[in-house]
Amino acid sequence: MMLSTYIYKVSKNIKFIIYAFCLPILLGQADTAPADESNDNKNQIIAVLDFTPVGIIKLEAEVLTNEFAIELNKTKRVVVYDRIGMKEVASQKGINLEDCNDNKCFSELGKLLNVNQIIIGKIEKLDEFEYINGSPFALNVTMIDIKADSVLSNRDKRFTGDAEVLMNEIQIAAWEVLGAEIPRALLKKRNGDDALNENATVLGTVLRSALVPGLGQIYAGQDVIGYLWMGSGLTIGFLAYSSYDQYKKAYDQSEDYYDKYMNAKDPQSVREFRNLGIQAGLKEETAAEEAKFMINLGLGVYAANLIHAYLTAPKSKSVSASNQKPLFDFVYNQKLKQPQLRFSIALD
Amino acid sequence: MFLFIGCQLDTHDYPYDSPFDIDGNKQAGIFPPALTLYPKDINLDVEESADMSVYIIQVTDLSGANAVINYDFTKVNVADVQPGDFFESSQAPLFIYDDNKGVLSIFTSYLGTERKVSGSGNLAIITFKSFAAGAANISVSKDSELVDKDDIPIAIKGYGQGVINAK
Repeated sequence: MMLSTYIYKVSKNIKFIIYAFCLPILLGQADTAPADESNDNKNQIIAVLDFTPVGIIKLEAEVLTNEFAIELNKTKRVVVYDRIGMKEVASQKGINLEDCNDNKCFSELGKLLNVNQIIIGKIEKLDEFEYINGSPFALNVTMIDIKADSVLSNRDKRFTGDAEVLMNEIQIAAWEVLGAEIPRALLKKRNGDDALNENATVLGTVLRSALVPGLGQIYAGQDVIGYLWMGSGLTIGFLAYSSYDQYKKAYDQSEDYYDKYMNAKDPQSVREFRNLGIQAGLKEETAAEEAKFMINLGLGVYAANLIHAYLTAPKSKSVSASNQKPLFDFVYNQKLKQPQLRFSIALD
Repeated sequence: MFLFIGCQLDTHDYPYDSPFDIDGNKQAGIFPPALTLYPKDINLDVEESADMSVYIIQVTDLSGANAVINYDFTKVNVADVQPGDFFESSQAPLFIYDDNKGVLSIFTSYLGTERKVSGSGNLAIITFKSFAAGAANISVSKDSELVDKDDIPIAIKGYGQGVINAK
């Protein structure tokens, strides 16, 4: 095992423990990886033009561009020029931002806004059909250095999904175009929250959950659910042990009083130990019932945890297979305004 | 952990039948002064032996006792009878028993200087040996007698019973 891998695993284990005790505080922080501070673009003001819509309406493109701009600000590497203000300033100077797509216009806009960098993009819906699992989209985002007249970075990607997937990909693109580390929350959302650890196996997940409830789920990348299982297991374990402790005390007391009862000859002592012994016996039975209930509950939670770990463990599948379009799709034809069963064969 | 704990959750089921337990005896219909047997229930295998003691409960100024014990002689026999500690003093008590086909008669008297003793205690220890399977009833007969130092009978209000279950 490589040293770096080992250090990573150790640090991850330590994080498990910290999370278990400080979950409410750390949960928010855990989903956001720290942004890399060492970047040349830090705190630079950058202009973001509305992404060009293809196959979607202009309003959708504006909303998505706004989300992209908000996400850019979250990176804390750049500050996005106020987009409403930008439109007003451009309008006053007679610049139509919708037609601003060449370097001359970018240069003019850059001088006007006093920015050196500008981001443009295009959102394209690739297919007229709406699939049950979403539509295919293409997203292109380009960051341009106006003065140098050069492309600083470019992201071009295709994906299939619904509006939520599209929004998530737009947000991811904001981090990608700046070369920043993408927050874990976005990656989790992209991967359906259960495939973060691609190396996780069913056996590994179930075995870990068998050892400590929730550990398998955490291993598989389902941190929150994992900690919930772990918390439930610990709570029920503590309550079960507490009930068992009470039962054990009552059990020992009952035994002690009975011995004293049997050894006593004085009628007063016999009566006293008999009463104490019977009381301890009742307490013993109650505590045993409570402990049995907690144990059954604990075993139920433990079994449910194992089943959950098995069901939600990442199943082995090839990456390409997961992205493959199914042979048959149930689609909605917007032109004909009716659902259709579509048959398609990949030619690649 | 759950399985470990779960395997250890048995509870006591004590009979609370001490021969000295006045309340327990009253619940069983035995009022003092009484002659009782302990343990009341004995489980054993055929050919095995077990001890059953005769107890005297809350008696005043007792000098002598004749405890008559009836038992099922078709299932058990009397292997031995030993004096209990109730009449123990500087002198050993007079202790005689006679076993006659299901009727064991034990005579014992206190030979201490005061010639009398009060309270509760063990009068005799009977060793029964089982030779046939089944339940053998043992009971204190109403022919039993308690007397003070002037040979005046002391009324017995309770008579104990027991059973030996052989398999």
